[in-house]
Amino acid sequence: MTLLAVSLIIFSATEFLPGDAASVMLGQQATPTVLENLRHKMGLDRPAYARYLGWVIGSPEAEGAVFKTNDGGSTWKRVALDMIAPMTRTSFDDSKIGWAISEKRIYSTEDGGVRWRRQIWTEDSLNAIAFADAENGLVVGEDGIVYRTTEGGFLSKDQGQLLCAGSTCEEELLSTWNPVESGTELALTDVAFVDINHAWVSGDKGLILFSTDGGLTWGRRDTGVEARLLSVSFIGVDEGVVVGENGTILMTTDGGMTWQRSVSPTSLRLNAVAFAEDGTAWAVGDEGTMLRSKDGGVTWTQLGFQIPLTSALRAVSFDGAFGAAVGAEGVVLTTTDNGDSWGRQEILDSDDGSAISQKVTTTRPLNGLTVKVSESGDVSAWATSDEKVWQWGLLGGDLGVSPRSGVSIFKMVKTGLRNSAILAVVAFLVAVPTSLAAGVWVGVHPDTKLDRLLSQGSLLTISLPEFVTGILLILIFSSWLEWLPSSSIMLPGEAIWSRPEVLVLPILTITGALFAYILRMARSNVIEVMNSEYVRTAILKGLPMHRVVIRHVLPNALLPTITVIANNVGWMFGGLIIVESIFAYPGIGRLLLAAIDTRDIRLLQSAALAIASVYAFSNLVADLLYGALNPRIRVT
Amino acid sequence: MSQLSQTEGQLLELDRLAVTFYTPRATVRAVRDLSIEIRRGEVLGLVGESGCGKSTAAFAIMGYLPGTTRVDGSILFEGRDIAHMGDSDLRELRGNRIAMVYQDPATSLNPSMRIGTQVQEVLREHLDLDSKQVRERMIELFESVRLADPEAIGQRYPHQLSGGMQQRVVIAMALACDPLLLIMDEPTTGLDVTTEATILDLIVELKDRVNAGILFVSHNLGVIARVADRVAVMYAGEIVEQATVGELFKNPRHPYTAGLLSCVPRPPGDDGIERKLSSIPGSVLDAQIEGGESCLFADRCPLAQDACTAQVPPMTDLDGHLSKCLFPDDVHSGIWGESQERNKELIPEEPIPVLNAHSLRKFYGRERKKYLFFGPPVQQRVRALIDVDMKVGTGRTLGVVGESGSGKSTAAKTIVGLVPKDGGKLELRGQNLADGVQHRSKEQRAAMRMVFQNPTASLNPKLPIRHSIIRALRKFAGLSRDESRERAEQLLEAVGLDPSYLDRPPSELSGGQQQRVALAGAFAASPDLIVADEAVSSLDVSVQAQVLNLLEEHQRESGNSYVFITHDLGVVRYVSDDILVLYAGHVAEYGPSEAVLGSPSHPYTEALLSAAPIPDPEATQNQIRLEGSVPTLHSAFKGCFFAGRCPRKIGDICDTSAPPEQAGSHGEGHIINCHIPVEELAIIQQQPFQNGVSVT
Amino acid sequence: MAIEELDSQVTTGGANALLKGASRKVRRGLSIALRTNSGRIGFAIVAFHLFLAIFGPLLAPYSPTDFTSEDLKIRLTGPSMEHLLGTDGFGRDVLSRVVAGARSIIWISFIGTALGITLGTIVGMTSGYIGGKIDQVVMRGVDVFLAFPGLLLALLVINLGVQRIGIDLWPSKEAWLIIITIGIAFMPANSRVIRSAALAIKPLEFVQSARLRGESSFYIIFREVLPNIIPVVAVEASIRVSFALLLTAGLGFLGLGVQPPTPDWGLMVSENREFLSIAPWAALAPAMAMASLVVGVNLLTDGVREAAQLPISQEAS
Repeated sequence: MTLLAVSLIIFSATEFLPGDAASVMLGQQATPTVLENLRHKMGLDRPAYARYLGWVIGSPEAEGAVFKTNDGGSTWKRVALDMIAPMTRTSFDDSKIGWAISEKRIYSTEDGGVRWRRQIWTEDSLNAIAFADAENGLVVGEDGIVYRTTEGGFLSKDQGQLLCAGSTCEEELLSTWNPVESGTELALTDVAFVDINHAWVSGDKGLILFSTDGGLTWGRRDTGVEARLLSVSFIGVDEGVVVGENGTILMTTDGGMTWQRSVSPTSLRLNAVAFAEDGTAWAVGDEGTMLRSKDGGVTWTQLGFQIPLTSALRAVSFDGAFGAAVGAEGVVLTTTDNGDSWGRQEILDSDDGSAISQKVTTTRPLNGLTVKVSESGDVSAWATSDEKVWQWGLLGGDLGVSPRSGVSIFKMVKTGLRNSAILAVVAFLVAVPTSLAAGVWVGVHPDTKLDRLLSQGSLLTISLPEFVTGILLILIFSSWLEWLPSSSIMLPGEAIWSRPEVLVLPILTITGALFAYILRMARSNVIEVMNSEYVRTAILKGLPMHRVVIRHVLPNALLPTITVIANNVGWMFGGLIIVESIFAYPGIGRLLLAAIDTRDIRLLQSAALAIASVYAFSNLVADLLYGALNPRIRVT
Repeated sequence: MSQLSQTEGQLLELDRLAVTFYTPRATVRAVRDLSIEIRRGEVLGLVGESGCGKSTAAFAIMGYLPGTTRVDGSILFEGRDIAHMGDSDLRELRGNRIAMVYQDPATSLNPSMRIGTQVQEVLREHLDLDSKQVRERMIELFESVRLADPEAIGQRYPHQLSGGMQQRVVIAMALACDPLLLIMDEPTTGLDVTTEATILDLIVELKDRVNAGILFVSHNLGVIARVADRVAVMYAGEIVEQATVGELFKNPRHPYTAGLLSCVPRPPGDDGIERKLSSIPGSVLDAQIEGGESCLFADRCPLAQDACTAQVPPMTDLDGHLSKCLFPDDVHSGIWGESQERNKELIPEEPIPVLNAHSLRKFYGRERKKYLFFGPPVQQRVRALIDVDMKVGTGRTLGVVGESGSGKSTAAKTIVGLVPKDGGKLELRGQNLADGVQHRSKEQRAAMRMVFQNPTASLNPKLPIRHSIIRALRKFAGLSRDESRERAEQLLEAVGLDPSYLDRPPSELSGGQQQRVALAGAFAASPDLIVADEAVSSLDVSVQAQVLNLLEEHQRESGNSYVFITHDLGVVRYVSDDILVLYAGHVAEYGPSEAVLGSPSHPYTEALLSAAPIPDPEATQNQIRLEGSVPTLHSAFKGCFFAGRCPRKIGDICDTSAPPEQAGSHGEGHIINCHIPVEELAIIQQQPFQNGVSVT
Repeated sequence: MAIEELDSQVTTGGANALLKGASRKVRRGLSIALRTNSGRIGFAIVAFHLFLAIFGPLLAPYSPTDFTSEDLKIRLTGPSMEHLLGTDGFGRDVLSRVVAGARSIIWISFIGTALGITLGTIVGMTSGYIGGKIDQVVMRGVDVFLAFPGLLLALLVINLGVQRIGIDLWPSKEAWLIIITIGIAFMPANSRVIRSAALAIKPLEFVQSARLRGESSFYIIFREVLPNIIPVVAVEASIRVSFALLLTAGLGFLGLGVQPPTPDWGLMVSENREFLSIAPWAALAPAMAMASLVVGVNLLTDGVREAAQLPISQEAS
């Protein structure tokens, strides 16, 4: 409960201060587009409550992935890793250059799909993309949206600031995608772009659009079908097939001027249709449906597999004799003989950026597919996934990725907390027992020489700021005596306990203040209890002094002291910020300072929340401890 | 139980004991000259006002005087001097041969340790017993102090026990090793009168059972009269008089003792004449003042002559009756003016009473749902006041009595408007009174003022004492700054304080003086009614008498009325015209003073009367004892409010239905809420009642 | 130079007003506090620092901020007659910078604490006196705020705030932000302490007496309750001042306090840390100045606490 409120405060403190977080992050030089990019990336275009909820609980994020095969379809590997955007469809001109759409964005790649650049970010939802060659492309989407380019989507390669998250870079290039009037507001589902002039589009409610001028103007053909059409494919400019819901199949032999309905062997939804090189048409659909027509789409037969498929097939694509079909739950089928025989392939996934050593068979839903056979005969194929996953927020322990460094914030915070905890725990283990013992002793023997020494010494130690203590220790132990290192800088990946000597000075610094604080508290509490009437009773019972102290004084005096100690765990984390800064110790405090330096607001929020959480948690423990130790609060 | 040698002779002998504390700011002579002796099997009562050094003497005997202290004289225990004993020898004595019972059992027990552990600790330390024997001995001890369910008590923590039970535990702890000497330092102060009676019974019983000497320290003469064999009276660190209990109370030979006795309100004597309450002027000699060659009591003594300030009077032995007065033979009843008849004229009753409360109700707590959203509400509301009626006429005093938790203070706060009532009607001179004080008119606020129990807290310690008086004058009388100052000086003079006190901070005044300032503030607006909530309870008897006289005087002069709340039956008997007996928020009995205090009365009134300590060792009282404490009754409670502790309970009817309201023997205006018919009560209350068994 | 003059005028003016406004009781409390040894020593140290804060820039033998190419030639020289505490990395006189640096830290910490204590006292007293639902809500809010280490809050607010606030304020927006942060950071803990003190006063008879006189809540809170918790407030204030000093210095050390070239002790330590092995005086002098000030404040706190007769365990929050 408290934590929620704490997170709200941190969120407000970082987000609602006057000014714009994104512009703060980027500084003065930011161009408007780059700013816009970052704003989107940080979700600043969403309302505040949505951002907050997204941060705390999480939000449905589509996780995109592109899988690629280079060996004729027998092994598939994930190429675009950490793809944040969902990839719906791809279109490749050759094995290197290709395009993809994802919700409202169009991406392009020049290296076969490893790195993607965003070309445009639209306001409209996009459904399908097709290129006739490397320059001419069409994109269709909901509400009759059609975008067209004749220059491969690029106009200028003036590069803006590159912002990367993992292997996805959002480099703003001025795009040449232009909206085109389609004459309809119905949803458009697929586009076939046969040559630079002829294009066909399938749509909702049996709609078919066609263009003979490369997509500049569109004509409409009514088919008398009410079902939503989902895919269109042409072989040559005359023969084409359209499939859709309820097993609907339409065919044309006159370049789309007239369409006939074919007899369909199924009533299931057909998701995609494609022609193989030999003119065979293939349609795939729900529940593993695969249909074949050897007569240009007039008659269809249903194919069965030895192992029956139950999941939906979403896409089918042929180039030459090579073909493939993909579907939900990671199904990939390939053929090299025009579809006479199909084989099921494993598709490998990995959440690790390094080599794909582990064979993780994906069950991601695959929904887009492009196959390309190069002139030398090499087969490439790209399957895309737009799996909708719940991107957990704080509650799921997922803090997202630092927009600045591209590293998982959770991992950074975890490492920082662990390192700080090592420091804190050791300091605690050193300081608490010794200071308690000393505090109790001087409390029982007030006004002795040792008491005066310790009390005044502790006053001095408490008064020294951490950075003064730290500097003094460095001066003595590393500059003069040269016993210990003055900083705790670690190599990347190096564990802190591999060089324990770097811990000594930071721990000493923390211990100093802690020792004095606990000593003063313990002393004062012991003196207070020593003056109580029940201790008088114990003394007048004739108990020896050591027994009075151990049995009567300590339990009552340590109770408030322990509470104070527990309350100070979090306070110590605050002091750690400075200690870590002095010794360049890689803990949570330094992470926080680094986040401030680099103006990484997401990291800052998370690190601050981590510290506040530890603080709140230790307060809670203190309360529970107090309850457990105090019989007057304990429920009996 | 005791296999100790029957040596005749003194167990404890204090010879010219003087204890002086040295602090950086002052030298405090807590005990100046203390010589007493205690034999085995004897209870020596040590009595005196607060600040007379009683507790210091008690702790000196335990060898426990922390800080920089000088002890002169000797404390011989079985011939060995405790004052100059080493730590290990002291340890051997403490808890074993000498044990102590403390004033406040709640703070004297370790809050975080189980009762059993704390008791067993003593046994283990001093006796060579195995753990089974230790347990058995503990149970035996708990039984001997009449603790119910001794097995379970050991498992509890101190805060889970009532004050009376805690004190029994402390006594059990003191008895653990069969001590030869028991020191009891105000063991019943702070306990309710009914609990006090049971603890005193226990002590009297122990006196016979345990063959130990007991030093019983108390400021309460009534308590001393009940338990002590011999009494030593202490004044300003000195013993001024010592005699057997009967002799001392009947025939005091020191004016201080006589004064103390005359300050205690008591019922009219055999001649039926109500005596005026006398008081001792001034206050106890400051312990920081060097005594010099003089009688320390001379400045307050009505018999003082030049000789008294010229020498320290010697202790004279008058047939075993010791007195430190030069003129012991001149001490007789009447030197303090107590033989005067009390002049109590009643102002004729007016048709409209000053205060009229009808069916006053107050609950504490809230009604809560058992579960957050569903289920019926659970009756969580506590009955603080249920259907309380009261009427206070002009110039009359209504006394409200009951133990703590009986709703007395709630009644006071409801009347003055500090807490809102939950039902009923309140009228001041026939005008309806709004709930909260902030909703009442200025005139109503001025007409009804309140005096609180704790004089130290009723004056803002950070503001000079003029603040509260002048503020009241300006607020209510609308006086200017100068006028109000002048009037404040007059008021101070009227309560017997020097007007120069106006600019002093409250900390420079004694408790009694502070309470008089509070009275001056209350008198400031010439109110019709003053609600006094335990206004004299925390004061020493002599000061209590001063304040009571002041109140009475003011009533005679200005004709105001009082609602006088107290737990002290003696006081209430002295001041009241009418008495309201409250129990757990319910009216047990209500009527004219003589009717309520006479027979027949409600069983609760009867129990209170029989528990009240009377400063007369020869007084005979019924031994009706109430165990436990006032229960918390929830609003859903059915049955008689007193059924749980009633010694006269007649059967199931008491548990199942609320008692009817009956007219008492004195006819109209006397109400008894009891299932037993008044006639029957009259019969059974004539018979003696012993040890919880009613002889019918 | 003109700014510097204005600077000192305002500060002394404020101090005079404070001294004049100090009531008899505060002076009496102070005199009790001064009866203890620690109180006397502490007062002397703090008074010395206050003197520096007011007159420091006038006393500094060299300019604390400016340096010339001549100065650069004598950078990092050790203590000498010309430069009693040596010179720093820019050849500036360390003594002058230490003396001049007292101002910003004392000014920020004291005003920040005053703000926090004032807010906390008002909130705590009101919440404690009025009680009920308002009290519960306020205290839950306080609990949440208490979940923040002060330094963290300061880091968040200052870092993000400095860049977002466009306007410039005298002496600097950093200083104001730190002051406000200190105020906000200290308010909750302070209000909790004050509230419990007020709760102890509330049921006392003189408060009820005042209610029966028909005094307003405002009057009761400020006239009857407040004088009685002044000792608590005084102890709180002196404890918090030392916290504020540590916080301000820590921020300076992290480079988030007042900005260079303004002399600031924390900043000076961090600037000269790299020369620690060759020129330790440059970092040690401000560090020692800082330490002595906090020691002074803590000693004074002990004196005040003794005068107020409050145990140390009050510090538990």
